[in-house]
Amino acid sequence: MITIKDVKKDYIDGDIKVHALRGVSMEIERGEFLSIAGPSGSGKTTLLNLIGCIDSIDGGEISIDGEELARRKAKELVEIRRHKIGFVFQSFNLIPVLSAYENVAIVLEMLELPRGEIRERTMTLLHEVGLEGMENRRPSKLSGGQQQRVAVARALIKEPLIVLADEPTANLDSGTGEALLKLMKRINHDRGTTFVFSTHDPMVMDYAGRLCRLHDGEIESDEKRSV
Amino acid sequence: MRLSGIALRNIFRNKRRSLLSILALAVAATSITIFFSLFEGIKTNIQTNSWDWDAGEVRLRHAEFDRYEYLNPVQYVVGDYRDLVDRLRAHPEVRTVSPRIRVLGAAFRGEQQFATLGLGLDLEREQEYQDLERVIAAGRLPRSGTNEAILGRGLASDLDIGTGDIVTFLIQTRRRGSNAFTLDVVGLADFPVPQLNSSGYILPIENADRYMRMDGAASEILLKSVGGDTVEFADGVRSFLEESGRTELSVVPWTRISGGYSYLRTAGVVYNIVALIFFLLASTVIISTTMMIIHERTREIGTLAAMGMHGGELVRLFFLESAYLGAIGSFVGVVIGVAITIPLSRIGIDFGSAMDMVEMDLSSVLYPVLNVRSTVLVFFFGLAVAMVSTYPSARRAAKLRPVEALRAE
Repeated sequence: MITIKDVKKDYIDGDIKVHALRGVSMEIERGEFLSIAGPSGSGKTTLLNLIGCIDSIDGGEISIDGEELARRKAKELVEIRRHKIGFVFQSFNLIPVLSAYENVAIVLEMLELPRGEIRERTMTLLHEVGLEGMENRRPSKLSGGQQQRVAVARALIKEPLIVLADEPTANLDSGTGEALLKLMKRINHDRGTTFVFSTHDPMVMDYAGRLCRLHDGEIESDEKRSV
Repeated sequence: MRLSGIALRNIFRNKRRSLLSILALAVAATSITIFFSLFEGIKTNIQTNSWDWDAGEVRLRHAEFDRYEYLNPVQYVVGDYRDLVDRLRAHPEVRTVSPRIRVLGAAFRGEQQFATLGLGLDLEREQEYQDLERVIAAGRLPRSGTNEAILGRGLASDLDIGTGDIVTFLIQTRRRGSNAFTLDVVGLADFPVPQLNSSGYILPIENADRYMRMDGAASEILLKSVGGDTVEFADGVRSFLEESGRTELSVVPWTRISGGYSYLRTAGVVYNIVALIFFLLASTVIISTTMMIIHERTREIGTLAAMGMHGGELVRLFFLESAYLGAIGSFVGVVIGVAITIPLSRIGIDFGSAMDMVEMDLSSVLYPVLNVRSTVLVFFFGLAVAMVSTYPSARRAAKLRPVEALRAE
């Protein structure tokens, strides 16, 4: 489903060129629950950004569902993000002026779906992630765990090909983080949604069906696991 | 939640800042509403004064008088004016006609001499041309065929006379001889034109004819049209005079006579530039506000872009925010402007003796006039300025790379 072939990415930090990714290759299959682990600066967030079409590749190839990303124009990449990719951010990144319901529904509104369908799908998903009765609360009135559930619902609502979660538990306490992981694992199991995490949290790694370790921009290990 | 809904909520995120933007636009819109209303009032005032007291909408004179006006060639007159006036009244494009005899001369107070300008008017018919009663400050209008006159208040004051007194004028006749006559002052006038106030008086045209030895001629005939373009009206009158064999007469529209009209044309451009400057000042507030907003919401912009929002939609989001601020600010500003202007348009703004120095048909008391330009156009202009000011920052936000925007603190 996602093919990553010899992907390179460099950054300029002052006068120094930083090799964030030095030729990473991997395949991600539909329905995987993949954790990309590694210390800070290992290139895990960079890899997620490249898969998520929010950053440009300096070398190599990434294709999603057979679509080669490097040759796409900016507008086409926006369309891929709009239809195929869901994001969960470390700091939740909810829109503060929108309620929990609106933060999720906005994604379907971008897809210009009928109002009735938007309402039904959003309410069902909010119920599924355990936010029933909190639909009208704004992010400031929700706990960290609840906010991240809204973020998960927002990423899932369009039924994307893949959900990319950048350190999703980093801002949560361990109990809340584990509850969130269980939720995502259940959705992965029930819906077959593909999840890719970047993390250095051992608990997240424990839940992963596949663990890929990055070090200095290169894959150190890549193993399938039974959880 | 449509973009418009998000934009509306966004303006309540930082109420103080939104209030500042609204205030900047409101102050600009209020100032410009009052400013444009005053300008419209000046325009109306100059036109009314010029039409009533100086040039008419169109003025008929002997062509040679116009040519040698600087020599005061009183011998060049509009002969047999009564017949011409009757025929002009029957012309379909002519609304009203005012024949006039101008009586240049002087009056004395002891050793002091004061230049005077008498206007001989057909007092029975002048009411069709203009409401003379409105200039009466004391007493009454003179009666036709009598030795009565009303004097401008300034002239009466210079001569130290009032209603019930008599006044003697020394004048030059049509035949360039001298004549003197004495009139009963039956009233004082507040002429809307300062210069007329300080030297003018009104007397019956029959008497002016006699004093000036006009022999049934008038100095000039002023016309007002039934409406429409003044220049076309002048052309129509010119054709009519040619057909009537009165080719010795010149027809000049007020736009070529009035000094005030030239002032209006220049001032109109200047006032528009001043209005633009006001709005540009307000736009700097909007620009800095939008820049701050975009700086603060960079990560949010990155999130929306990561979710698949197009650059155009992001630009629209910021445009809508500015549109709301612009609409509220402009509306509030125009409403305040209207609220200030309405009472001023009734009581007027008295510029006092400052206007005595102005050499044009401009009254010392001006009445602002509200119109579409000073209200609806100001509102939409404010709205447009708010939106256009946002564009550069919004465009920059739309061009942000999501990955960089998401890294923002």
